Amino acid sequence: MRKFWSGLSETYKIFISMLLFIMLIQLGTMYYIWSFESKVLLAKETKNLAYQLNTEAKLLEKHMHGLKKELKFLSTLEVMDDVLVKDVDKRVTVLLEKKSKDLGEGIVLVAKQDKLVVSSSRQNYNVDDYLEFSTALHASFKKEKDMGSLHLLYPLKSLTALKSDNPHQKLWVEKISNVKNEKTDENSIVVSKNLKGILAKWKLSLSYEKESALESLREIEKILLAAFLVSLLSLLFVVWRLSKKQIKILEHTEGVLDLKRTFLSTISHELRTPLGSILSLTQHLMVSPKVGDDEVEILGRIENSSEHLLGMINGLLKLSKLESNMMPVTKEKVYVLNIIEEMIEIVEPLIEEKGIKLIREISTQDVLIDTDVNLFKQVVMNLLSNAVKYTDKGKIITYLRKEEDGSYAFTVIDTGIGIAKEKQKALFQEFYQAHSREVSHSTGLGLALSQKMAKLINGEIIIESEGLNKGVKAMFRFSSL
Amino acid sequence: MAQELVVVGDENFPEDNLTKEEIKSIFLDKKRFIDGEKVLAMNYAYNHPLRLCFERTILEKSERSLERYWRKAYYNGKRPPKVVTSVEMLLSYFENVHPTIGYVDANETVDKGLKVLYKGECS
Amino acid sequence: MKKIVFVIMFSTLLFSAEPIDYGWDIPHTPLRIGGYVDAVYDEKADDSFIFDDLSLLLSANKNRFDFLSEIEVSSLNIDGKSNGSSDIRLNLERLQLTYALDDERSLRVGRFNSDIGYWNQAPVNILQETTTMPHMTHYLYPKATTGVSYIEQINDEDRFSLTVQNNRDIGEESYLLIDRHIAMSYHAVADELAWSLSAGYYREEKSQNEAYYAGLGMEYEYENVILQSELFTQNGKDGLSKPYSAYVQSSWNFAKRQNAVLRLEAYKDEVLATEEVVSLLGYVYRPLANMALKGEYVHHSDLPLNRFVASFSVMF
Repeated sequence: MRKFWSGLSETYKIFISMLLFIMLIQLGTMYYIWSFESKVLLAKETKNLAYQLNTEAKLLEKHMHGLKKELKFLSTLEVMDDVLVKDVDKRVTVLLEKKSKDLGEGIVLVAKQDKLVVSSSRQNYNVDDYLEFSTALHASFKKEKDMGSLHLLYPLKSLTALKSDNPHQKLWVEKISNVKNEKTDENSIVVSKNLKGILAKWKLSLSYEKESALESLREIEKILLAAFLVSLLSLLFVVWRLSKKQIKILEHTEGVLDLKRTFLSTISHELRTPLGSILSLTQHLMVSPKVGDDEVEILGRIENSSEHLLGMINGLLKLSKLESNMMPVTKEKVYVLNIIEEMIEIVEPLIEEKGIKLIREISTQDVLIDTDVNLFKQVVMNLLSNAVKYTDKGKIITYLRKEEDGSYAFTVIDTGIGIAKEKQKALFQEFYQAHSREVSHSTGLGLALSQKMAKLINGEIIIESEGLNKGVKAMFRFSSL
Repeated sequence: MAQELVVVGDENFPEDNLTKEEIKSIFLDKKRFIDGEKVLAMNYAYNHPLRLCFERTILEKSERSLERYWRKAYYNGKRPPKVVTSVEMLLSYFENVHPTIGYVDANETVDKGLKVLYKGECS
Repeated sequence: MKKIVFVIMFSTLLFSAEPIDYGWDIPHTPLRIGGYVDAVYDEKADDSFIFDDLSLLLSANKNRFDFLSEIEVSSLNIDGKSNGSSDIRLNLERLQLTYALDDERSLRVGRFNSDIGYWNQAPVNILQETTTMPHMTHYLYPKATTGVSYIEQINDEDRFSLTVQNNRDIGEESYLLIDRHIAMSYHAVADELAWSLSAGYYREEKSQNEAYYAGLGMEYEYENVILQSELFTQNGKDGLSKPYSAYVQSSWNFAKRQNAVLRLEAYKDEVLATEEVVSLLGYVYRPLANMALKGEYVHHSDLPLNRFVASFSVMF
C-alpha cells in the first residue's frame, strides 16, 4: 500500500486526498443530521421562519403606513371643508365611497365632526371589527380651524388570515394577550413578532407544519447520501485504475532492470574473453625477438587500448554486480590514515609532474575502524585521481576530520577546472562525465561507481563546486561498519 | 319677471352694506379683508344660472373675460372663491364660518338669518 | 405615488368644477403649487424650437401674509442641447412676501415684477395674446425689482403703488440688472376702461447707467374685443435714450375660444439706432382656459426680423 502511494505522482496524491476529505465531511454532516435531527435542525428551521416573519412584518407595517399616508392626503383636499357643513351636498360621501372602493380590502372611510359621523363610505358596520386610523381635518380657507376628523377603518378579518405562498404555512395577526396558557400545537412550529406603529397592540404569527419544515431537511439528507456514494465510487474507481497502471509500470520496470543486468553481465563476459586473448597475444608478441622496435611501439599502443577496454568492461561488470547487490563486503579493522597515505603516494608522482602543490592536513590522530579495505581504497583513489586529472595548476589539499556525529570525513580540495553548476546535478548519473574535455584513462563510471561503493561501506560522497574553474571539494564521509 | 339676486353675508358680517365695487373686489380676490377679518367668498358651480347672473350683473365680466382675469390673477397669487354645489351647502357654510359672503335668490333670504348686503337684478 | 396623483387629478376635476382654479395644495404645508410651460417655434431664432420656460409657482396664504414664488427651469432644446453651461438652470424670477397692513394697504418685499403698465403684469406667454412681446418690454424699464413696494387700494378699483430698491438684484435676469430703482404707478378703472400711469428711475448695476422712464397705458374691454395700448419713453442719462415706444393691440374674439390679434408698434431706440414700425397679425386658440395655441406673423419696417412665430403654452 505504501509503495503504491509513494509511486503516485503529486497530482494524483492531491486528488485522492481531496476526495477522501470531501467524503469525510459528508460522513460528518450525515452523522450530525442523524444524531441531532430533531432538536438542532428544528431550531434552525425556526430561525429561518423568524427571518421570514420579519420580512412579512415589515411588509405589513409598510402597508399600514401607506394607508395612513393616503388618509392624511385625503384630509388635505378642499372638498373636506364640507365636513364643516355636515356634507350637505354629499360631496364628501361620494369621494369617500370612491376612495374606499379604490383601496379595497373592505376598508371603510368615515368623516366625523365633533365625534358625530358626518359622512361614511359604508352604512352598517361594527366598529369592533375594525382597526382605526384617524387624522384631524382642518379648513382649507383657514388652516387653524379644526373641523373634525377623518378615519380609516381597516377590517380585522383581513389581518386574521393573511396570505402565505406556502400552503403548509399560516400567517395571521392577533392581539397580544398576557394569557400564558396558549396551547402549543405539537405539529407546527410557530413564531411571533410584536408589531409597531398602528398595530402596536398586535403581534404577527407564522406557523409551519413540522413535517413540511423537516421535509426540506430530509431532502438534504438524501442528497448528501447520494453525494457520498458517488464520491466513494469515484474514489474506488480512481484507485483501481491507478493500481492497475502502477502494477504494469512496476512489472515493466523490473523486467527492464532484469534485462539490463543480464545484458550487462552477458556482454561483459562475452567481451572479456576475446579481449583477454587479444591482450595476452599482444603481450606475447611484444616480447618476441622476431618483432622490430617500431612494431613493438605499435603493439604497445594496441596493449594500452585493450587494457583500457578491459578496464571499462570490468567496471561495467562491477556496476552490474553492485546493482544486483552481489558485491561482497568484508569487514576488517583498518587504520584509516595508513590507507589514505598509501593512496596519496600512488598519485604523488603524477601531481609533481603536473607542477601542482600537494598539501596534507592531517589534523587528527589515527583512526581505527571496521570497514571493507578494497572498497575504501577504491573510493579514496577515485577522489584523488579525479582531483589530479582535472587540475592543471594550483594546489590539492587533503585532510581527514572527525565530524560531530561521530563519523569521519576525508576531503580533497583542488583548484582545477571545477564542475559547472548544471552538471553537478547529473554528477552521479551513470556514464556521465562532467568534463567534456578528453582526459586519458577516464571512464564515466568513476563517480557513480564510487558512490555505490561508499554506500556499501556505510559512507557517502559529497561533491561541491563553485562552478567552472573554481575547483572541486570532494568529501568522503564514512563511519565504522 | 327678472330674477332678483341678493348678495348676502353671514349673521355677524362686519359690514351692513357693501357697494357693487366692494363686492366685485372681494369676489375677484382683490380685497381679502373686511375690518381686518379675512372673508370667505362663495360661488356656485361655474355653470350654475345664479352664478352666471352674478358674473354678468355684479362682476360685469363675461366668461372669457373672467377666464382671462383669473389666469393673470392666479399668476399673481390670487385664488377664486370657494365653490359650493347647492344653496343648502352655501347656507351651511354661512352657519359655520365667519365672515362669509355669497349670493342667493331673493326668495331664499326669508328667515335664514342672513345679512343682506346688496340687491341686484339679473339682466 | 401614482394613487396620490390620481386622487389629485380626480379631486380637482370633479370637485373644483372650476376651470379657473389652478394648482394643487401640497399636503402638510400651507403651500400651493402650480406652474406653466411653453414651447415656442421661431423661424429666425438661434434655436428654432425651444421648450422654454417650465416654471413653478409656489404660493401660500396665512392670515395677513401672502407668499409667492416663481422659479423658472430654463431652456432645454428639443434635440437635447442646452442653452447654458448646464442642462437645467433654476432661475429665481420672483420671491415675494406681501403683508396686509389693513383692508386697503399692503407692503410687499422681495423680488417681484415691477408694477409698470399692463404688459409687465402678465409677462408670460399663457397670459398674453401673442407670443412675441412689444419693443418696450425690452430694456426700457426694469422688469423685476428687488426691494420694497407699498401698495394701496383706492376705491376698490384704483390702485397706487410706490416701489423702492437700493440694493442688488437677487435674480439672474439675463438683461437689465439694476441696483437702484424708484417707481410710482397709478392704475385706475372706469367701467370698461382701465388706464395706468407709471414713472420711475433706475440705475444699471454693471455700467452704472441711469435712466428715467414714464409711460401711459390703457386697456379697453368691450364685448368681444380687447384693446390694449401703451406709450413709454425713456431718457438714458448718458445720451442714449428711447424717445418713444408705443403699441396698440386689438384682440378680437371672433369665434368661440378663438381670437384674431392685430398689433401695431412704433418706436425709436437710440441704443439699437433704430426707428421703425412693427406690425403683427396673429391668431390664438384656447381650447381650454389654461391652454393656448398661437401663431403670428411679425413684420418690421427696418430690422430684418420679419418672421413667423408659433407657440403652445399651458398653465396648471
